[in-house]
Amino acid sequence: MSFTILEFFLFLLLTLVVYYLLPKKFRWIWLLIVSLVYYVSFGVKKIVFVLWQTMVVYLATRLIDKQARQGKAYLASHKADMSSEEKKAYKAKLKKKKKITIFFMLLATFISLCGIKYTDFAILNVNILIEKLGRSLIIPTFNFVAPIGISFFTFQTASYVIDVYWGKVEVEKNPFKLMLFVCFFPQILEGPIGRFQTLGKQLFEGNDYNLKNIQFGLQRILFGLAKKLIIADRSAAYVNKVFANPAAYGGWYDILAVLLYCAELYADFSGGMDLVIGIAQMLGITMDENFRQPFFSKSIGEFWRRWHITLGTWMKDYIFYPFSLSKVAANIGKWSKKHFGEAGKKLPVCIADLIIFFIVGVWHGAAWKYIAYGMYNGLIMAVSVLLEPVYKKFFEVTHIKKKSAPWQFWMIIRTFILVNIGWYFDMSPTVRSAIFMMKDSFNFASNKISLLGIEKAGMSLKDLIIVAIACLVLLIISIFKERGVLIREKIASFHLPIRWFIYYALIAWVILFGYTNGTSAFMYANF
Amino acid sequence: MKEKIRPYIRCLIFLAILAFVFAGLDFVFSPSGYVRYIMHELNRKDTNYDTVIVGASHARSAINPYKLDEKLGVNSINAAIPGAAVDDNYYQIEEIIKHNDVKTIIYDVDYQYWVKDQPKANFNRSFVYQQLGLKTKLEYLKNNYKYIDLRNICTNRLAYKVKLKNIKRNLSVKTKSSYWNYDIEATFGKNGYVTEADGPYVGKGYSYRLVSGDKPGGRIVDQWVGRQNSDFDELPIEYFDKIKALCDKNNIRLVCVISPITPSSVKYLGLETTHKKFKDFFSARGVEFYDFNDVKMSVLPRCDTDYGDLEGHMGGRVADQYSELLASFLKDCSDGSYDKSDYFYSSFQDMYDNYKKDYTEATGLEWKGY
Repeated sequence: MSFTILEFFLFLLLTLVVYYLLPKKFRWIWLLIVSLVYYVSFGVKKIVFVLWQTMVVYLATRLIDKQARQGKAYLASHKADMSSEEKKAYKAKLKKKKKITIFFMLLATFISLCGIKYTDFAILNVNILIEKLGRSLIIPTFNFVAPIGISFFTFQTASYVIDVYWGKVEVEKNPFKLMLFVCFFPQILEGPIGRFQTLGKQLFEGNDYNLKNIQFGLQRILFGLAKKLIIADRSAAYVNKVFANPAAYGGWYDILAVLLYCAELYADFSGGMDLVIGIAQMLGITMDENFRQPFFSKSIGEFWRRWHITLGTWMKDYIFYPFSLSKVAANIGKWSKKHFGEAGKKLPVCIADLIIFFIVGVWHGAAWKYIAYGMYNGLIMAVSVLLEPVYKKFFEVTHIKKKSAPWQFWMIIRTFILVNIGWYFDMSPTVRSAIFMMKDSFNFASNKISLLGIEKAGMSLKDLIIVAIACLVLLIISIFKERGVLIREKIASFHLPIRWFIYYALIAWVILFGYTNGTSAFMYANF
Repeated sequence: MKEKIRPYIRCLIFLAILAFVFAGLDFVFSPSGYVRYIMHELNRKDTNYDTVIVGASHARSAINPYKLDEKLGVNSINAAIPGAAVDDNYYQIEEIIKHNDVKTIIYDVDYQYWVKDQPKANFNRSFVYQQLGLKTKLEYLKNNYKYIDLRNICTNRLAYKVKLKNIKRNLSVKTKSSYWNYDIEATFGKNGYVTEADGPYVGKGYSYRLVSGDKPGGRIVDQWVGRQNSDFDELPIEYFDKIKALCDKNNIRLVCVISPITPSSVKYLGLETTHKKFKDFFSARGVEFYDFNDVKMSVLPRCDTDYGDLEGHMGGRVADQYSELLASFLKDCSDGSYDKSDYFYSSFQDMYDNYKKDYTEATGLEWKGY
């Protein structure tokens, strides 16, 4: 169900009207029904994955909860007749039991994700290996089609299970409420990856009707549509054409393709988030923000704290910290300090970065290019950590003021360039093609750019101007937001005629300049 | 209480102004199209058309309604709209019969709108939605809610051409009385003719297409080779059945025809295949169907140069002849004096083998074309 068609708006209208008409205690049931209907609209069979995920998570968290409660009760009832050693031993036994439970639960959760997304990738690589060894055995692939949003709801549910295991959240005893948390319709396509402690309560308690929420939600939806239809869809034709056949282009064509891909991806993903957050806001639900002006980042690390924030925090909370604080990391730290001195202390952090970005790469898709994309980011992060003493020395020697505006500006430009180099891996069909394209991007002599050439590649001068102006507007808005200006609140504070003029202008802008040669699905809906 | 209601009143005012904004956008960016003109013509209170020709661009250039009026004593109109697909024709017919006491519908079918994979997204299909009455519009929305883009519901976005020169032209056309009076002049292009009609407007939806006399261009037909073998798409089938049901319900005689296209293209594209498909399709539904692609040269002499392009948009001279022929043919059919061999070749192959020779025999002129 596309966000621009009548069907979706009728669906949304019906959802809102019934939601606010129902008594509060029944509202979550309505949300569950519409979420399931929405998911089924992408294919009836795929609902099996949502049901499976809910069942596994429900049973596992109930079991973990039961084990914890039984343990506590046992300890309380045997408080007097147990020695402290016995208590310690019992606690260790209980911890082990819980660990086994969570291990199998996470296995069951991720098995469907990995099975569907990565089996064919693994088979293809095994086949290549077999062929290289001179054997003729070819293992057939399954050609699984991944259910919409599987990577998002798998990570979301995994976070809930781990939080229950850590005792951070109360276990949800109602499996249907849990199902709503798994498949809440606005976010199931492309996130944001929500946390149970913040999202769960809002989903279940039934929110009060507030006209302001409806107005602000609609504004956010409109802003998202503008990004998606004006920038993302308009850029897609050129980007797809150049990346699909890099040998035919090169030089400025490639550089333009990467820059447009950057605009497309950001407008598509953040525009999609605007829609999701806007829809949720109309239901009185505040979702986590997924973007915070990422192109103002001054390092790759900061970029990942501003881009796809909920994935970044997920990685930080459930991979980075558990690994960095683990015994393994401590041992690695001790060993490397012994062998490499003070700099060696940073090794566990570097390893954690590499692990995280390997997972980020794999999360993006089952292809070596995504792994390369992840590792490219991970290596930059790891190297920057290792080179910290060198940077320090550099600033001492050169007397460059880190906080000075020119230096800050340079950092932003440098990060922007690094981020764009990463897109070569993300968008190219293969790693080889990405590397070829990177090299060919500097082949200016034999690939002279012309407007006719750009037009032949799918983008007219008019398209280019529209995208450029839209990006400029986006940049100006981002500058305001970076300075702490709350745009919607600011607009709401204007006099009514000015305020309405802005809204009408935005609507007209979307109608006039929104792409009409086929709107494409959201890019992150494939993950 | 007042305080509670005020924001909602404000919302209503906002929406009312928004409706004006949409109308303003349409006024500035949407060209004064032929669909607007012809739909108005069909819905006029002072006319009552009993015979309506429906179809797409081929039908518009092929059938002169005055010839039908003359021979059959009817009041006909050519309501064909270039680019109109079968579903568009359905909504158009629904609208027409609301305002006219229609007895016969001549439906000129074009297989390009029947083959598989008809566009369903509404930015790459033609549709008459904006010119429909409210009730038909609602039915359109009900049937197309899965495809129709919100931008096309609020405005005539599909027709917009967001260019300065178009804006200037739109404003100059729409500020004249001809636009507000629904005169045909408001649909004229730069060449002074109805857009894409390429010839003077005669009336009742018919333009006399002028041809140069040279071999027609338009090698777009090269892309159509093989398309004749495609099965029919489910969308035109669904909507044709609706058209049939509508005609049955309103006691309207439905006659399906294929107006003859450029003879060399009939052969090049192997249209005997589509002929058979349509014949089977319509006979299964008990619908009258006549394919004039294999009409004898002695009955309708025509060569490639009588057409505006290889696609088969008929020039005015042959169109007038064909319209007379169609009228006589329909009369024969009604009288029961129709004999197939009087009009058609024994087979398409027979036509392919003889059409150039027969043309020369019929006209004394040399065949001109491919």
